[in-house]
Amino acid sequence: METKIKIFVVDDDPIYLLIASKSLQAIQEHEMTSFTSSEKFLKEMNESVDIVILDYNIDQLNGLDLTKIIHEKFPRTTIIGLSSQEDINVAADYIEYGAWRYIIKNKSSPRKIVDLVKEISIQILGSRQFSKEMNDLIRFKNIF
Amino acid sequence: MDSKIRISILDDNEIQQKIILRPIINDPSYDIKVFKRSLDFLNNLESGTDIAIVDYYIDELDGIEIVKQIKKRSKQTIVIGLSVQEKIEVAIDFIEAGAWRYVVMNENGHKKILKLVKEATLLIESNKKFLEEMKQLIKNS
Repeated sequence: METKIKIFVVDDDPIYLLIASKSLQAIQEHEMTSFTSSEKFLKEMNESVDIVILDYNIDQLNGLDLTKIIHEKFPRTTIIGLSSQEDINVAADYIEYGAWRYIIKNKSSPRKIVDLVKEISIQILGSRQFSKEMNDLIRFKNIF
Repeated sequence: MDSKIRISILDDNEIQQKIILRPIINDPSYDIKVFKRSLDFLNNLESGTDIAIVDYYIDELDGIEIVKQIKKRSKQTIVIGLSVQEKIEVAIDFIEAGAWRYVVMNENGHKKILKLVKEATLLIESNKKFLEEMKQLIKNS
């Protein structure tokens, strides 16, 4: 079973995410790709991506627009929304549009990101394990 | 935040009940209730159930019907469906009814249940934490 977690990041200043990626390295095997343009991100986005981390201010499309698009096209991908604002409305919009979590960008956010990726990775790996078991059941049926 | 995880088990087979209970019964983070009859189990739902473990063969209602009832009455409850049958049809019926996972009760069944209970616990705790953070954000804004 594949144990690597694939993460896409869209942020024009991915410094927090790079810090997070570094400390994540020791805990969870992952592959993080960062984008600074929403167009490039949408072109590369596909269903094999497990987690998408979106900043609020990107370019002509913001994090909420991208959340809507991703949630509709790739419902199995987990979305984490970022914003520098302590605004409950932004948080509520993110969740309404399909994000799993919302994080306020500050000095503790790298730690927060590591914790959340750890949490969701357990769920993602659990789902992969379950799919594998179900496939085994189907195979079992075909043998007998 | 420090409240216990409430687990309800519905299984009329006493041996299987014991097998499920053994690894979790002494863990103080769980508040566990065991039911033999589906009606008693469903009546208890509203008092708050985080994780429900439901066997396929019960009484007048089968496990699939019970999962549907759980999802109707207590949407946030995480349901684990059990059966001794290695049948994909049973698994699909459970998942379609709203179960989170399906476990075949073979010689490894109890280990799988323990692993799933731990996974579900992390999910529940994470959701609680996030809810608290959002409440804090409302207070601050």
